[in-house]
This record gives sequence, C-alpha cells and structure tokens, in this order.
Amino acid sequence: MVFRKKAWLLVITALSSVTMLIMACGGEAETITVVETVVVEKEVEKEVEVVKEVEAPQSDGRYGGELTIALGAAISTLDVHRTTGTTAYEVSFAVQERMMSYNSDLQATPLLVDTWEVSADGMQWNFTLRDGIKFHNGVPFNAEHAVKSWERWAERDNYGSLIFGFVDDISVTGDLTFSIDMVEPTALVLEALARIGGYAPVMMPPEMYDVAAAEGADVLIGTGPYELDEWATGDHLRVKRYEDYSPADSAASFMAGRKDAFFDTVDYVVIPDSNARVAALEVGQVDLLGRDVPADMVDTLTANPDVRVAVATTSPAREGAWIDNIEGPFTDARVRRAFAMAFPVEDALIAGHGDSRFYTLCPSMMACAGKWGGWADGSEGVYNYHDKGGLEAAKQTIKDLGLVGTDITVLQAGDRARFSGPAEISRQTLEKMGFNVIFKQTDWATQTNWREKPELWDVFHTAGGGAWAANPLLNSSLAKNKYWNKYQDESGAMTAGMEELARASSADEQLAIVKEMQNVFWQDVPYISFGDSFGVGAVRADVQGAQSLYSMSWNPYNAWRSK
Amino acid sequence: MTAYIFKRVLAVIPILIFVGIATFSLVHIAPGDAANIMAGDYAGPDDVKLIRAELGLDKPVTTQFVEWASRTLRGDFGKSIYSGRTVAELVSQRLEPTISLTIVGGTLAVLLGIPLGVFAAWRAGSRWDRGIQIFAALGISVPGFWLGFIFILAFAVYLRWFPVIGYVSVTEDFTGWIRSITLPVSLLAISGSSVIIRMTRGSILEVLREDFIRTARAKGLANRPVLFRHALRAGAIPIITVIGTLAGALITGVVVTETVFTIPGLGRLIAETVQNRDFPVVQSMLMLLASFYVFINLMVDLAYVFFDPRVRL
Amino acid sequence: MTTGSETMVDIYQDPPLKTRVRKTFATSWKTLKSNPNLMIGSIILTVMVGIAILTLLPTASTVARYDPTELAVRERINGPSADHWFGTDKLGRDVYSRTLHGAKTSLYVGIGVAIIVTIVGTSLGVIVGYNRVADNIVMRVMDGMMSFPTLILALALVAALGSSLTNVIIIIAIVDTPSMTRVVRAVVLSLRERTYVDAARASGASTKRILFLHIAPNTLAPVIIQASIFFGGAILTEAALGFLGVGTPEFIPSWGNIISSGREFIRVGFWIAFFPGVFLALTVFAANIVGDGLRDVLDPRLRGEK
Repeated sequence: MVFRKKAWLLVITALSSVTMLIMACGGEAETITVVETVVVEKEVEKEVEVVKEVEAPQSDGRYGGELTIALGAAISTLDVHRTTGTTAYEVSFAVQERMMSYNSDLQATPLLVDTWEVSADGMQWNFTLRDGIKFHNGVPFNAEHAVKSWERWAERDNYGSLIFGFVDDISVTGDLTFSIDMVEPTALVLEALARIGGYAPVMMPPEMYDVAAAEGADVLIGTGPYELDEWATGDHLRVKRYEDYSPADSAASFMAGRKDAFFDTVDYVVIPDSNARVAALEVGQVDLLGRDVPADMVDTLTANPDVRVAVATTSPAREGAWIDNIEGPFTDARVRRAFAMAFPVEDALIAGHGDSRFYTLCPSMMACAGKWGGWADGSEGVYNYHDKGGLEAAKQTIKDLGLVGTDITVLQAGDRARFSGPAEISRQTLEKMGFNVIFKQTDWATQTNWREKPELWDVFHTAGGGAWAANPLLNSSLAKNKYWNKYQDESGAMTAGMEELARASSADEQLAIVKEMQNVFWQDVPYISFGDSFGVGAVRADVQGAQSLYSMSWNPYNAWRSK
Repeated sequence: MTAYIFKRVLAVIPILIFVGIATFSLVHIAPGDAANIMAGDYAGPDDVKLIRAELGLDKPVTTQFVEWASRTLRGDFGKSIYSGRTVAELVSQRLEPTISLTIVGGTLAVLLGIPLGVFAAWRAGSRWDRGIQIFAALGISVPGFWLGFIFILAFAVYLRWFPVIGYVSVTEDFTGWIRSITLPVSLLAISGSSVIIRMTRGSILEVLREDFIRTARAKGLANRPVLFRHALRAGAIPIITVIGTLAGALITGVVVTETVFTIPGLGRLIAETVQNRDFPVVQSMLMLLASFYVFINLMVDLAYVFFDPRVRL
Repeated sequence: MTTGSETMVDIYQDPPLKTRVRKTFATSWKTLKSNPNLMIGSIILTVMVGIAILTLLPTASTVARYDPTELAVRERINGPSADHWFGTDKLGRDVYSRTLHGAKTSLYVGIGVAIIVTIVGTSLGVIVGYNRVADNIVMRVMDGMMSFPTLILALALVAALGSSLTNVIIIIAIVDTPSMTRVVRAVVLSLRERTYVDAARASGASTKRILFLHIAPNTLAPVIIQASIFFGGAILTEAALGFLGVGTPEFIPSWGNIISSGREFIRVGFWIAFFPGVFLALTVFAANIVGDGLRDVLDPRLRGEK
C-alpha cells in the first residue's frame, strides 16, 4: 500500500466538486471552494496524489518476473501520432519518452533534455539534450531526431498548432542542441514538450518520423526502459527490458526522473470481454486493469484481498450529449438550451457510471477537478442537476417556437454501455419535450461515420477525457466549427475568449476570462454537459510501485512484485 | 461418379466469384470505416479526413473495387489497415487455436450428439428420451456467452481448475493445451451436440417408420441389427446435412467462444476486424471462410451419393 | 414405437391431401391426450401467447405492474424483491415488466421468421430437389449465402436496410432460408426415387401434381423440426444482433435484447439475463417438443397406428 489509503468519507457535492489537483497548463495545485456539500459515508479507496519515490541502488531484489496488463481493446497501431486511442498510448508509456516530463506535482522537468535556457524577453529558447542516450535500434539520439519528432507531433495535436502559432523558427544548432525562436513569448513551451493527453510528443528515430503520421509507422522504437519484443496483433504485445537504457539521475517521480525496468518483460494482453477481464485479475492471470474496470464490478473487486482498486479522481472525463449545431432544430440556441434545461444530468451519470463514487455533478464548462472549473456561473436554470421544473420550461419553449412534433434523430451505440443508457434518457427527454424522436440504434463504428454527416443525426453520446475536459484551449467542442457538434459561435464571444486566454499572463486574468467564457457556454450550449466521470483501475496487491496519475497509464517501470 | 465430382468441383468457382463480389458489396454497404476507428474517440473531423485520404478510403467505390479485384486475382490478399500485417500473417498466427477448438469441439459434438440422438429415437417417449430432449433444447436456447461465463466463474474463478483466459499451443505444453481448451470446447460441444441430437432423433424416428424397416422387423430381424444396418444408413442423409450445417454453426460459435474465453483465434479476428471495419482483412477472411464452407458442403453432397444409393447421378 | 406393437401397413398408397388433413384433425385431440410432451408444450406456448396478448391489451399495466421503459436509475441493478419480482436492469427498469412485454416481440420475431422461412425454404427446396437446372442455380446462390457467417451477413443487411423490428425479422429469415432449403432438398432428393412417386409418375401424373400432392406433404416432418429450430434460433439471433448493437432497439423490449443487455452484469445482476432466459428457454423447449409431437400427428405413415 504505497500510494493509496482507505478513505471512509466520500465527499460529493450537489453543485460543485471536491478539491482536486489540476492537470495540463499551469503547474500549481489549486483549491476550489465547495459550494454546497453533502457528506455520504461510504467505503472507497481513493487515490492519493503522493508518490513514494523509488530509489534504485538497493533494489536488486526487485528485479525479475513478468507484469501482465489487460487491455479492453486491441492495440490499433504502434504509432501514437496516428491515433487518439488509448491502447497505443498505453504501450508507448513503457517504450517511448518525451524531452520534458511531468513529475507528480505536474511540473515539466527535463528527461531527455539536459539543460535549457530562455532569453530575458522570452523570444528564444535553447535546449541541450542529454548525452549518451540511444534508441532501441542502437542509433544515438540527437537534436535532429528531437526536432523532427516534435514537429511531427505538432502537426497532429491541437496543443501543437496552438504552440506553433507562437513559434517563428526551430533550428538544430549542434549534435545535441537546438533553439526555438518565438514570434511572441508564451509560457506554454515546456508544457508542449511534456504534453500528456491528446497525442504524445514522444521521441522517435527517422524510421518512424519519416512515415506520414496518418499512414502510421509499423515499428515501435524509442529511448525508454522497455523495448518492443513481439506483437501478436489483436492478442498481446510484449516488451522486454532495454539493457542499454540511460536513466535520468534525478529521483523518480510520475513520468520524470529515474526509471528502472524491474520486470524482465511486460505483457499487454487484450481481453475484450469485461467479465473475463475482471475474472482474470481475480485469479491472478493478469496483474493490472488499466482504467476500464466496470463500475458495477468495483465492490466485487474491493472484497478481494489480493486486489487494490483505484478511482482516478484526479483526471475526469466529461460526459455529455453532443448536438448538431448546423442542421435541424438545434441550430437555434434556444432549443439547445431548452434541451439542457430538461435533461436530467444525474440520471445520465448514474446510468453510465453506477454510483456517485465514479462521477461528480459539475455545473462548470470545464471539469471541476481542473483549475478552470468548479464554479456554477451562468448555469442557473440550464444545468438540470436536480429537477427544478426545467422540463416544464423546456416544453413551453418548444411550444412557443412551434416545434412540437418536429423530427429529431438520436443515435445510440448499442455496443457501448457507457453511452447507450444516457442515449435512452435523451430519447425520453426529447419525447417529453414534444419532439418526434427517431431513435437509431447502431454499433459504434457506424455511429462514428454517421456523426460526420449532420443530416443523419441531431444527438449522439460520447465523452471527452483528460486535458480536453480540463483545458478550454484544447476542447475542440468549444472551438468554432470544430469537432462533430460544429459549434457556430455566432456572437464570436467564445472564440475571442480563447484568443485572450492563450495570451493571458497571470492566473487571475485567465480565471476571469474562463468565467466569462462559461457564461457564453451556458447561453449558447454548444453541447449538453452532464458532469465528470472517473475511470477505475485495479491492480494485484503484490505489485508494488505501480500507479496511475492524471488519467495516464499505470507505470510498468519502477514497479515490482513483492516476494 | 467421377464426372459428377468433377462437375461439383467446377461449380465451386462461380460460388467463389459470387462470394467475392457479395463480400465486397456487403462490406461497403455497411456504414462506418476504419478511418474513424483508427483516429480514436477524441479525434475531430480533420484527423479523420487525413487518415481516410491516407488509407484511400475516400476513393470512389468502383475504383476501390477494381483495385481490390485485380489485387485478389493476383493472389495478393492485402494487409491490415491497422497493424500493416498481411492477411496471410494474421491468419497463420490465429489458425491453430481455432483449428483446435473446432476439431475437438466438432468431434465431441458428433460423438455425443449422434449416439444420444439415436438412443432417444430408439427409446422415443421414455424418460431417457425426454431427458435428452430437455438437454438438447437447453443447449440451443441458452446463450453461449451466458453459459461460458458461468463456466468461467465456476471452474476458473472458484475452483481454479482451468485458466480464465488464453490459449496454450499444443506443441508447447500438452497438458496446458488441454486445460486451456477444455471450457471453450465444452461450450462448443454442448451447443453443437444439441443441434445434432435434435436432427438425429428426428431422422431416425422418421426412418424407423419407413416401410423397409417395418419389413425388416416383420421379417423377424432383431431390433439391434435393424437399427444399425438399416435405420442408421438411411437416416444418415439428413444427419450429414446437419453436420454440414454444424461447420457453419461452429464458425459462428467460435466467435462467441473465443471472445468469452479470450482465445486468439480466427473467430475473434473476424469479430474484431468487423467492428473495426478493417476491410482488407474482413474481405479475405470472408473469402477464406466461404471456401472452407463450400468445401465442407461439397463433401456433404458427395456423402449423399455414398450413403443413399437412391440418389442417382 | 417402444412398445413394438405397430401393425404393418400394406402396400403404401398416398391418399389425397384433403382426406388426410381432415382425418388428422379429427384424431388430433386424441393424440394430444395420449402425448404428454405435446400437451405440456402446447400449454407452455399457449401461456406465452397469452402473456403476449395480455400485454397488448389496455390492461397491460395491471399484469406487468410497470411500464417496461420507465426509468428509475437510482434503483438500477436491484435484485428481485416484492416491488420488482425479477429485479431491475441497468437503467432501473422493471425486468418482470420487460420480460412480459418482451414475450410479444420475441414471439413476433420467432413466429415471423419461422413462417417466412418455412414458406420460402420449402418451396425452393421442393423445386430444386426436383429440377436439376433450378438446383444448380439456386443451390449455388444458397451455398454462397450460407458461406457467410450468419452474424456478418445480418450485420451488413441491417446496415443496408436499417434496424427495426420488421427488418430484423426479414433479415433473420433471409439468413435462415438457405439451410431450410438445403434440408428440404435433401429429403426431396431421397423421396423422388420412392416407389409411390414412381407409381404416380407411371400413372401419368404431372410434375406439379407429384410435387405438391406426393412430395411436399412428405417433407412436413423435417420442415416442422427445422421450423421449431428456427423459431428459437430467430429469437436468439435477434439477441446476438443486440451484441453488435444492431438488434431491436432496447425501448422495444424483447427477451433477446433484455438478455444481451444483461451480458455485462452477469456477475452483479444475474437476474437481468436469467429471468427472460428462462422464458426464452421454456418457449424454445416447448416449440421443440410441440414440433416433435406435431410430426407424430401429421405424419401420414402413422395413420391408424395409435
């Protein structure tokens, strides 16, 4: 029990959320005032955001053995710049590294970078890479690799396009040095090198970065403590200890510092059936379920002394109903707002996540666990967290607008339980509002295609995770004409807010801008926001040192099996 | 006879052409494409467009068809959109578990199903008959995933006799192989034998009422020889038909079984590639299964000739 | 058959269909009484049909106690109790109510598919069994269709036609027809060389007459068995389509979709799949033994035996 303790009290809030750490840009933890608190006594295991630091030298007894990690879906590609899917990311965590990495306080600290300096006016950054680092294929890591890899990432990631708006030029100045010239100073550079969530800015050799990201490299080579051993597609992927690994000499902390590959091999096994996944953990055939333990199975696992359960409260996902902003009744902001007023958000959260240990109501535009969420401004009467007559008002609006009996199409992905329940709630809510609901049940693959065509749908259900939920600049559902909801931002207020936010220099200034944006959010309702949900992971009790912070994968390095 | 066999073998060619074209159309009628799945849940329209262009999925269907047909005719079955592995590689990786499951499961189904079916017919109306019928009815009406998970809970989680997940190669560890396939094979054998029992019982019952059996019995032949010499032979035709159907049922059965027991076989490959819309693999897999199926049914047709001399050619 | 008391029937003659049917129904009650399996099966099926009819009537709410789509997410996955006899599902819907309402959907699917498959499959089977040219064409298409895994064919068809109750029935029927055709064809192949068919042919009967008067009735037994298999199979296939997310939408409860929605909760809420599963298994079993019983009644060669 290195990093977890039992918490007998679970605090849930009716309006806002508990105090939490932040993620993404920034770096300082922040406490958010709780607006209205209800205390429920319940036995849960809560993640504690303290990492016990692992010292390597006296750890010889820790070496050896095999760690088996279960994945719920097949690894679709080895190239993390090709997909936003989480399974590729999971493997990359063991094999590849970033130039800068977050420590457990979410500060970007040097990992492959040795030293860096920034000019007084903030217009030039100079980086020197650590000497002696080699890729798994034996090629020494140099500045050209670093720049090419980072540029490849920037083309894909929306944080990349954000940062490259500030960058004038990047030049390789030596074998291990490069510099970045800015158009305008920004504090985001180091964060962009360490970025978690979205696409990963990991370092690659030419074999990988020379292949177009969309095509995807079919090799996996990095500088990390583990290297690819074999990949039986769709079944398992095995990595083994990289003997020439060159660790950083600082203490281990989250993704930063020293990394030791105690386990000889780490196996990622695909187990599509959730019942089988849990059973395999119970009998010890797998050691770790990343973050997709079904909420309903948590009590079964908690009762098992050989298993530890962790609820990832530090980095929530945002649950919601995405609505078609450019075709059909929802082009009118009044209709979108009426839908929000009528929608019983807590019902949808319970339907998708079991009970209140695994979600929190959140009337903010951004996740309440982040630094840009946690207050209710503008949500009064729109965020229907408890029935306050929102449905009646919504009905009246629909009647006044003459929309009673209008067709509205709701998509339901029958093979995704997390979203299919809330979709049924959407169907019933819209029917009660007076619409004629056309309900299309399909599989997920079909739904992803249909949502591309605005004429085929009006409502579908999904979730946004990690930094997406916490940082307005990275939330594409709020950007004009992006993502599938294609928010139009007629007044231009949201877009203006984003631009100001990227340039804001102080935390107070940022806060004020985001609060203003939140008022626009509840006025315009680009999508219906239910609240925040937390992933659940579980690990065999004899596995020490493995942790999952900020919605990242569990670290396979610095973890060992107690004898 | 030889001419008949030759003709039947030649007839396989148009079937395969039909299957090929139908496969391509079905796969392209089904909405959803790999680009969306590849891009991941959090990707936006720009990501998807980029990947779609890279994969050539934005080309007109006719162009894609011509490309696919000419590749297939040259014997190039393409490669996975996701992993970049060729279909041949993927199939050879996944072949062994599925062969183990279907051969052992199918054999058990036949060994269990035919004797039970014959016995039930022979003792029609008895308590034994009713018991066997109840078993068969349950066998086809209990969903595989449900029974499979009960097996896992009982024998793998509580009793710990068998592993919950995975497959052990027969060449690697024989007892491990037995342990890893016991539960899935039982599942296949139960559902397979249920179908065979029902069909066998029906057919034998039918035959027992036939004139020549009555004649044989009337002529004073003992019951046993009548059953084995005459009834079984005549009843064989519908039974063989069912075994042909069983081949198809096993193919569908392994999809569920391999998923529930996490066995890396062809069934899971199909389920996964259909869900991911990995078109090149889906198309080749369907062609492969179709060829297998057509082959089994060719055998079935030839068996008719063997078992029922009344089918004159 | 076990008693060994059956008498020999002399030289076999196929009587006109009409006479046979009349005679059959005259003796059916007697048969029903003498055949406990048939009796039990018929009772179960009657009860199921009764349930289905009750839920169609305005009195549905008194019988089913709850609206099958009424949500109560705060009471989700609760075990059986006095309030909820069969427990509640993942959205807090009453499983008892859903199971009763599911009867009509499932019977509709099962009966619909069985009827379509029987009519189409038998007609095709008889024709191809008797006509070499038709055989070569139709059976090659059927072989092609059968060579697709059922679910994949169904998935593509649902995608093409859209997912609704009627489409689900049509699609399952399309998928099942080839195997019915195959079975009927096999029987016809062996029948057409029989003495009585030869005799009919020799006496100058037309092909059509031979087909429909002499051959078709004799395919009855295997067809009934197959139809009873398809009846249950259709209900199960509908459930399997639900796994892929393309079955009947959950707001129209069917045993199949209740069971498949219980899949994830087997461990923590066995009742969701269990109770509709019992209804489903009972119904399939009943159809099964009724099929066997009916064959006894309808089989022309059994005339005068009992």
